[in-house]
Amino acid sequence: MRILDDTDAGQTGAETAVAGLFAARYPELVRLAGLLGADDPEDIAQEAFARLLRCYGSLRDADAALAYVRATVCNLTRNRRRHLRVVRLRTPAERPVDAESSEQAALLREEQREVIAALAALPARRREAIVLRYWLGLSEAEIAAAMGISAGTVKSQVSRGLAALGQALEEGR
Amino acid sequence: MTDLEDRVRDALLARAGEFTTSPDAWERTTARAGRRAVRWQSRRPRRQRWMTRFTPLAAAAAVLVIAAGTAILAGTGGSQAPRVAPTSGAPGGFGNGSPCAFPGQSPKIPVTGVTISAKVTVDGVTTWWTRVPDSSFGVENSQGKVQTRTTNLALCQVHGQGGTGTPVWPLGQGQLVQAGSPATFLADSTSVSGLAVGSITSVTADLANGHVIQGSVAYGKGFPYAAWWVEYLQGISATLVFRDAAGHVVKELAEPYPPASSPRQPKARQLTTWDPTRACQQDRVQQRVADGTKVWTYIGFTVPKAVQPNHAPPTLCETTGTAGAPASFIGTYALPAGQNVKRIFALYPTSSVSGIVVPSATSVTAVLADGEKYTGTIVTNKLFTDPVWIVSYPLKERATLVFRNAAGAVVVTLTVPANP
Repeated sequence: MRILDDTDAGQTGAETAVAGLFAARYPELVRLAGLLGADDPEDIAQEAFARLLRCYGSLRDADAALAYVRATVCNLTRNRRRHLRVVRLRTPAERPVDAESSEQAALLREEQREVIAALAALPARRREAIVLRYWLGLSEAEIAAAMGISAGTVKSQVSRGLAALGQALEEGR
Repeated sequence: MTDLEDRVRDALLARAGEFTTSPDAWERTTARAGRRAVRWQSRRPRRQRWMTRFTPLAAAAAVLVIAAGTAILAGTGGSQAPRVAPTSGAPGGFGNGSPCAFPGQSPKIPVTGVTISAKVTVDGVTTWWTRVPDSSFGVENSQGKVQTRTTNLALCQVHGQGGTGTPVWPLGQGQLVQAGSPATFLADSTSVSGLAVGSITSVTADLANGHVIQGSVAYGKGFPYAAWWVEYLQGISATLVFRDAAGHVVKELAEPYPPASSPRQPKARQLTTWDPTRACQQDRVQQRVADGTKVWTYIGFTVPKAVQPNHAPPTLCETTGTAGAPASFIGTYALPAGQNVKRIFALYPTSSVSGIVVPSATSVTAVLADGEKYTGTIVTNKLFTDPVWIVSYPLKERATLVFRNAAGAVVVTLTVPANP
């Protein structure tokens, strides 16, 4: 494998470091991509780690790697959903690729299914903020770093997202 | 933590538990990192898609240019790994500045090119040409030898937040079309782009499964050549067909899958163990049968990779079970794309029948001998080579499947004998 690092020693170190992060966090990032609405969460997570491998040498410090790969998952998922939206516009007869799967509907409890459906209807940014806050349990600063927005905006996105969820669930009763 | 927050957290936890990971994920990731690093030499992931789509413009059919266009985009003077690089850096040449001015690009990067054409926008992409000082480029041919080429033409294209400035060289004498190397994005689509003589007004990718994908062609005042690009499903062979304004075919280019020189070409023709999570590109369907049992099915096509001997056409594959229980049926069966063949299996207490859909059908209904009707599902997916149909019904003697088109007219009927 070839990594675009400055030195051979850097390549080895980068791959070792990323491999460690991968072993510890890959499932979590696959799930993050899935919860954000990716149609192929593994593909997104693998692409994020591949990019981390390529740019590891340019990170400020090793501790930034997780934040980088998390932000990459968010960005890639957002781009992917945008791409799929365009694809659907061009081929309206096609079944939405990221439509809720039948298996999900069958296996999730009814109430949880309602919450997930309401979450899926939120704007992408609010959905990201909610998932990062309530599933990953990130702080506002961490969410801000992952989403590339300010902490204040995170607070408002979470607050508005929750309000919208509450309203949607209330209307569904 | 409010009650709503608790509910959201519980739902997210439950949903997250459904996502699984592949055992070979790390190998795939490292392979992907290595492939992209060698291919693009780029540190700008936000523009990767752009480069995927348009940078190959600079590459002739059997030739690959790597560094030059990337260096222009990045504005950093290039990358660090061994690569094909500009062999001369004339002052004011590509190595020192961008031939195109893009929105959002750093104003510190000098614009060295002189615009020589109108700016034409097609399908959201604005294209124009610039003239730049003569620059030489190292070009790697199919034998791996680096040759020097010189050009003073650059193609500029911009879309949304990004753009690319790509050095190109003129078409050869009698050459009608120049095509870059196919590029992929997130392993699901293939993009091919290139140049063409001005008389070509349209390009299509005619896929091996019979589908035709319309590409884009940009041409305008001052254009030395037309620029074209087309994007289609990955994993399938295509023929790029170029037509003139009268609709006549001017040129055809074959884009086989896998490419003849691609490392994706398996060295040995051998069957590996069928793994539905890897070999099958599936979509999911849920059917509720008469007694209330929920039946879920993953259905789709095998991916034409090493699991297929001699890259055979994709075949239908499916995984079926009842809700909340492990899959009770996993299988694949040969069903050449484009044929409408049925297959039957029994899943107590239902029968489930599936196959490749007839071209114009948009709905399928199973009508039993006693007149009971069960509506099936037509499953389409961007990655499928063809739509497929599936319908389930309680175990009965026999059923007639009625396929209708969008207008409700019967397209074809199939009689399904009773399950043994």
